[in-house]
Amino acid sequence: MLGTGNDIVALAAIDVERSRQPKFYSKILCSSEQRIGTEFECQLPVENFVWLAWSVKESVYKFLQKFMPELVFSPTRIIIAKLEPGLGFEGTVAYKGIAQYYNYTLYFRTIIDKGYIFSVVNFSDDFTGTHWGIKQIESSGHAYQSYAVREFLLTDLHKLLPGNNFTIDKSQHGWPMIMNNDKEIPLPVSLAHHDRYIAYSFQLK
Amino acid sequence: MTREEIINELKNVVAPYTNNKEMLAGLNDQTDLIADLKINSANLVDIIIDAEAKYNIEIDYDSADKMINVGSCVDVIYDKVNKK
Repeated sequence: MLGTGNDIVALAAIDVERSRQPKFYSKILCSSEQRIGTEFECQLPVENFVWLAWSVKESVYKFLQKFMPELVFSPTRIIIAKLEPGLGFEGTVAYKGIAQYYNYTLYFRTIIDKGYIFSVVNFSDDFTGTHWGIKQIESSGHAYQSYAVREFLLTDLHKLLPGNNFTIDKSQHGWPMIMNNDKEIPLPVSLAHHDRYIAYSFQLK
Repeated sequence: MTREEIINELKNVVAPYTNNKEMLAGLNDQTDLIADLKINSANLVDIIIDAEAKYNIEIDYDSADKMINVGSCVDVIYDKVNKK
C-alpha cells in the first residue's frame, strides 16, 4: 500500500505547562504509551513526548484517511507500540518506531529540533522512497501557511523530477493530490503546517 | 441549559484558537472547527479541556471523537450538562 502521512508541531506554539498535565495528555496517550513516555523521560521531556506522539498519530491518520475517507481522527485509538532512538543529523534528535491502528501497522520517523517536532509514517520500515521537507516561514497566517507549503513542495518536486508541470489540487475529501498537466498522478503526498513551520512528505515507489 | 446558550458560550471557548473572527461571529451547527474556523488540529484537545472546565463536565474518548463541528460539540455538551 503506497501512501504517506506527516505532521509538524511548532514548539513555540505549544503550552508546555498544560502539555505536562495528566488531564491533558490522557486525552492523547493511552496507558501503554504513558509507560513508554516514562521509560524515555530522561531524554525526552513530557511535553516533547506528548507532542511526538501527537505528530505520529496525526501522520497515521493522514496516511490511513486516504484509504478510509470516513476515518475520524481519534488520538487514543492510534497507539505507539514501539519507540527507539534513531539517527539524527545536524544537531537534531531522531526517533523511530511503530504505531498501530487496530489491524494496521505503520512505521514512523520523528525528528526533534529546537523549534519543532516532525513525524512521517510509512507502511514499511524502509523509508528510502520517502521524501520530506521542513521549512520555517515568516508568517503564521493560515492562508500564507497553506500557500507556502504548496510552493515549497512544488519547488522541491520540480527539482527532483524536472521536466514536469506539477500542480496541487484537493480531493473531494480534502487531501492534497499531485497533478501533472492537470491529470492526477499516483504520488502520495501529505502537507502540514503549525505556527511558523511547514512540512511535506511524499512517497516514491 | 439550551443549545443556543451553549453555542454562545462555545464561541468564547474556541475564540482563543481561531483568527477567523467573521466565521466565529456567525458560528452555527454546520461550522467545522478545522475547515471553517481554521483551528489547528493541535488545539482540539485544548478546546475539549476548556469545554470540560467551562461546563464542569467530563468528555470521554467516544464523545470527543464526535466533536468535529459545532453542532456535534453542542450535542455532546448538551447531553453531558443535562445529565448532571
